[in-house]
Amino acid sequence: MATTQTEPGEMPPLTPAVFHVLLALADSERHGYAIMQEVAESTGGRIKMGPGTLYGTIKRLLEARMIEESDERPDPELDDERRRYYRLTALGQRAVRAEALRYAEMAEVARRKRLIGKPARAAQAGGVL
Amino acid sequence: MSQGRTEPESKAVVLSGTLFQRLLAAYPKVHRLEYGQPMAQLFRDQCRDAWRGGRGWGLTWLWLRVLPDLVKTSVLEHISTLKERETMLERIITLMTPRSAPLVVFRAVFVPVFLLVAGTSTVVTFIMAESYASTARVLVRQQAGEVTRTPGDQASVSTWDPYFLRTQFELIQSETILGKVINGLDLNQAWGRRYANGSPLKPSETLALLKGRIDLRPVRGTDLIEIRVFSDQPAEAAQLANAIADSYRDYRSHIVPVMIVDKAVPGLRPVRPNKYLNIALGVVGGALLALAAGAAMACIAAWLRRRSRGIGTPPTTGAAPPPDFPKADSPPSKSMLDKVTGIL
Repeated sequence: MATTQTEPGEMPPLTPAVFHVLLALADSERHGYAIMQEVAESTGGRIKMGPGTLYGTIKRLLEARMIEESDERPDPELDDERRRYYRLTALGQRAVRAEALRYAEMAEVARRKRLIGKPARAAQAGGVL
Repeated sequence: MSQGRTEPESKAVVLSGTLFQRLLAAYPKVHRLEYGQPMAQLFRDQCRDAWRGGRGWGLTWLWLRVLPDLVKTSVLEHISTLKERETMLERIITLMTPRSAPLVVFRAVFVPVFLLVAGTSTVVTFIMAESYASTARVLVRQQAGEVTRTPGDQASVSTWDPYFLRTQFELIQSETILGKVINGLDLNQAWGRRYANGSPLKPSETLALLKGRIDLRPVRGTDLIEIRVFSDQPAEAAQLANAIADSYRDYRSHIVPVMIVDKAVPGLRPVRPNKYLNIALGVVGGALLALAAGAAMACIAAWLRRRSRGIGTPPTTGAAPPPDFPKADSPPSKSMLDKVTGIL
């Protein structure tokens, strides 16, 4: 996920709701319900976005051109035509990368101060986030 | 995912979807037109999931989660819309219809506040545990010469004792009377199984619980006392009321005979909560609160409108966008980024 092309200082910090929505769209296009499910799944059910919060966030992300509506349907036969799909724009990708790096840097600081341990997977791979 | 589902939708899900669609009126018209349909669709999907997960309770919890979200985000969208309108006034020309603004704000505040208060009171009313009441009536006569004496009281033995009934009420609630009831019905064990995970309650705990369920009243103009007992089980309420009446009669029988005029019978309908009263109070309280909140917000909107009139330039027809209005292919401005960024 993290690349050397994006510096955390390049983009301003994002709100948690915005970051979660961008993260949900990082690997594929999704409609609103799928975004909500992805956020709930990735946070272990701790964050369940209501329709108001989700579409308020989507509206602001569209206005900021971090996401855009997609006309394509991953599987048109199975899907409802009325559903709107969203995908990240280049700006959105930069923003979510910068935010992820910012989180990683903060986690690294916390790790150095022994507030948290190494994540299991990273420890097995012998690397950091 | 909800696609491809063939099972019929329950009435509760359909009703919830319809109600949510109505509640979308709380959002600004522009937001509603653009996102109302997908929001309603998302909520229907959530309703189906909630219904499959927990039936009525699942839907109730979903509503309790979604209603505050709806109120919060609708207010935020209105504030956002108002800000945009003001920006438009300051930057280019006013495109809003100033006359309708306070009314729109009033409606936008009134509807969610009213629905939140009335809806919450209704939901809480139906969630509350039901309680049944049963009443036994006993005839208590004062024996000649039976006078309650208080320090310094010079009452004659032949006069009527004004403290008689109050004394009887205290007597009925005393450990002497209720202790027999507790032992007779083995309430320490029975209530221990129900309220203390099986371990028996202490007599003092049982006594306190029992006292909390008793309501004693005189029947006006008579020598009758009503012994009313509440319980979540109708049969238990009647059993307790009769046991207390029996215990009291046995205690008083050596002074003067006490007659149990009416035996308690199990109630057919719960007396608590009073659903109609609670819902009515929620509706009236919600309307008053919503009226006050709506009026306050409408006043603020009117003040903002007057202020913005002073700032804006007179509208012109066919006005071109301002020089700093973003073009479609230009990078986002700082103000656009500000909408999605913030302090963590």
